[in-house]
Amino acid sequence: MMKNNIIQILKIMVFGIAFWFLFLLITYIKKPLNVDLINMAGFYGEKKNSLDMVYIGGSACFVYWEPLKAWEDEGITSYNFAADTVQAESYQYLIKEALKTQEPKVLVIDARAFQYRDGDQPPNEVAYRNVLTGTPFSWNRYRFIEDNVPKTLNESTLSYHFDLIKYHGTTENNPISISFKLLTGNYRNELKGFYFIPKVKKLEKLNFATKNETPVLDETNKILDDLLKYLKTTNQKVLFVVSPYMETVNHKENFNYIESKVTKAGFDFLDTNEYYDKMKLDFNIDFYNFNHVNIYGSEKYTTFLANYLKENYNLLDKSTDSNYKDDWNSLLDNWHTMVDETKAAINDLIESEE
Amino acid sequence: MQIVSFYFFIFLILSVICYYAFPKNKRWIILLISSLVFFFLACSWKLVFYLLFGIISTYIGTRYMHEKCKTEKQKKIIFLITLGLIILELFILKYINIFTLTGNAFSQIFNLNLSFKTISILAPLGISYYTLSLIGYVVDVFRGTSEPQKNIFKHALFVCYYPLMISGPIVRYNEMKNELFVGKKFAWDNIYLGFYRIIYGLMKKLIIANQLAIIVKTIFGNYQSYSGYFIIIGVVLYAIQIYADFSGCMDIIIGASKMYGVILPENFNSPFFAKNLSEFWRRWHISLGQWAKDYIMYPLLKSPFFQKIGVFFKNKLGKKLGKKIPVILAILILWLLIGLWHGASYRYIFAAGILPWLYLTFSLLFEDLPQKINDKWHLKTENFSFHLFQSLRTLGFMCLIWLFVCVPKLSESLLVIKAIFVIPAAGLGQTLPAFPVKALAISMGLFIIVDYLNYKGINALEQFIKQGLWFRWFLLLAVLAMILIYGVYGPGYNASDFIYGGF
Repeated sequence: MMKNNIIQILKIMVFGIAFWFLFLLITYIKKPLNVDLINMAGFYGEKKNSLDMVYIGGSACFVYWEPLKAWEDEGITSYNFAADTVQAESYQYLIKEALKTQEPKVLVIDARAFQYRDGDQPPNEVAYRNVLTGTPFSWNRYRFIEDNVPKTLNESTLSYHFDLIKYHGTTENNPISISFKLLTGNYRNELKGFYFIPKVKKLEKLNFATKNETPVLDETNKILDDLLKYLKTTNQKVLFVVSPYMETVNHKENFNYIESKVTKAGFDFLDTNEYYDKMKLDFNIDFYNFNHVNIYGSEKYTTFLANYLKENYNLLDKSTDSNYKDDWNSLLDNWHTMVDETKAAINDLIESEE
Repeated sequence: MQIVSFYFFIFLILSVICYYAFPKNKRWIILLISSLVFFFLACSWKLVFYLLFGIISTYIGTRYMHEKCKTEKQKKIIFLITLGLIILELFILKYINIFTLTGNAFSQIFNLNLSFKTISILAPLGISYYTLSLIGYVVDVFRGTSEPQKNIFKHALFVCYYPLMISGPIVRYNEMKNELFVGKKFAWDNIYLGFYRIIYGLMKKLIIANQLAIIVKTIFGNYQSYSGYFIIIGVVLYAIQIYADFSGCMDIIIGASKMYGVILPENFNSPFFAKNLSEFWRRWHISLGQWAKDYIMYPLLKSPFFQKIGVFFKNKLGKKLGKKIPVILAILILWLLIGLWHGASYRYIFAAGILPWLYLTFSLLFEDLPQKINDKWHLKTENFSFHLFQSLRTLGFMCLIWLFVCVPKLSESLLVIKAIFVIPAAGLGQTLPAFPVKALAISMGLFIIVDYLNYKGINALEQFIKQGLWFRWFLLLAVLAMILIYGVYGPGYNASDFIYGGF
């Protein structure tokens, strides 16, 4: 009798595992194969402890920092662990995810999320789903959903835990081979989390200089406090960065406030908008909208930031290191092709406008 | 908490584990606690007072009737009071508005300035079902065919056993007491059969019923724009939808109950294979039909008034026809009540009451007609094609009934019937929503096979459990994958309530 019960329980467990695998596979087949999924899931495909720098943020990260340019120019290994319209409350969970498999010399955090959370991009379903779509099931993922979805969105959490509930109705299916790689954490993002946008917009430089400080809203302030408190427990070197965009005086006052808090907590802060000239940013061709640079701008930004990181965080040139050389260099041809194609598309746009 | 929800299945697993972890003679306590927890999670806690009212009034009434009443007259008075109380509760919660609306309609006709206000009362889950079970119980105690339950908690369990609270089946106390109060021995077969049955029910509900609901809703949600074969397609799909929906719900309920070892009566027996309407109603919502016969139809026919009518019409119309008149009147009352039970509106009274009565009356008056036609035309009736013809004819009649249910207003149903004879201008693909053809075809194919085996007296699930492990697992995982991909559920979908849960 006892033996039979054990056999039956084992059978149920095996069936449960088979069902769970099927469930996950279907989940990845049905998830939209977008930049957020491949950026987030691709991070888990990186070799353990292979990254010098992990850049955490939203689009203000993944259209700015070119990991393969940083590799080619400075021998820095990095990844954009970023999702579109990321919310500041996601950061703590993203960092915990990043530190599960990597021990970077520096963590770079996009500080703009603390400013736009109170402004034009408040928390919303899409922002949370963008982060969750490529994040595997874990206690950390569970906590992120339970800590934020009911409180901020006032929604049931079930479809956030199990994305299939949300996505099963889509008519498009991802190829099984890709879905399988995504599921097993073997999907490799060949752009290391970068995203090309072949657009251009002519902008005018704004004067945003001010020393005033304006606090962010209470909720955002608490998120920042909690994050800084958490970061202190990690012994990580951290750099908060504001990437170049059409920064205004009001925004700058917020960033001054954030900078004070960050530096008081013992971490570094860099508003790269103060270095337009040093970066040689051309407002006629380097942006694709008010808030983002295009490939021309990202090249200048990456060069500037890579130098800054090398100078301040003792990042070594790994371009001759046999553990990295072949692997990273193998991605460069495809990278150059895509850079050239994007630039050509932008040039066409500039010409047609002229 | 809905029964098609992740939380329900977690609740079920925990409840089943607790049930078997408890000593055998105390297992009914877990069923009671689970039922109360389910009720609290599925309804507002405020509605528990209605449930308590039903439990306490019938408990006191039946015990008093059985133990304190010395004469038949006393017994009858207590019986009528108890019955009155539970019917009054149902009436107030479900039917009061149909009378206020009727009063207002008449006051307008006669230019009276009466304006009765409709009352919005939230009825507790399953009230239409447990009220009928309670009426049956009170009648059985009055008749002496049941002993009243002396333990109020066991009585409460009979009233609110949670799988029965959603859409029935309507049960008898005598058949349930051994199922509920005698602790069931753990058996793996019960767990597996219950699980398979739930999966089968989910397939019917989430794929077939819910996918078809989208098409049906498109057509009848805007029925003024559709005509010709669109209306026919709509009502046929509604027929399949309502059957898959209700029987799928029953599968989940019966499967969940089976996991505790508690056997519930079946509510369907392959109704779409029925050869005529009488047979259809013997196979459709069986527990309601049986209940109505036992507690309405037979008592009416045995009553002195109906006996007198029988004698009167036998003298006037002859023995054969005279005998049928009391039956016709009894089934009129029976079907009017069934119509009213389905919903407090004239639409249901007509569609689920008067129309079936008309069909059955016609069948009764001309019961020899089909045989005469067959004899005259020398039709071969004992073959598949004739059976198919009979089943389709029956389904056609039922579709006419369901057409009145599909159209929200009774007055506009006739316009929709008229529209059937108008050729539609648009093509089929242009105006119906897209649906997963293959998944629906596979699910419906499985549904038909299981129903046909059932019609032939073969229990498909019992056959399935005898198959090899790999075959079973393959089929189960395939069905589960189909449900996960093609099932209609999740955010943006708010029609997950079962159609019969609303009755």
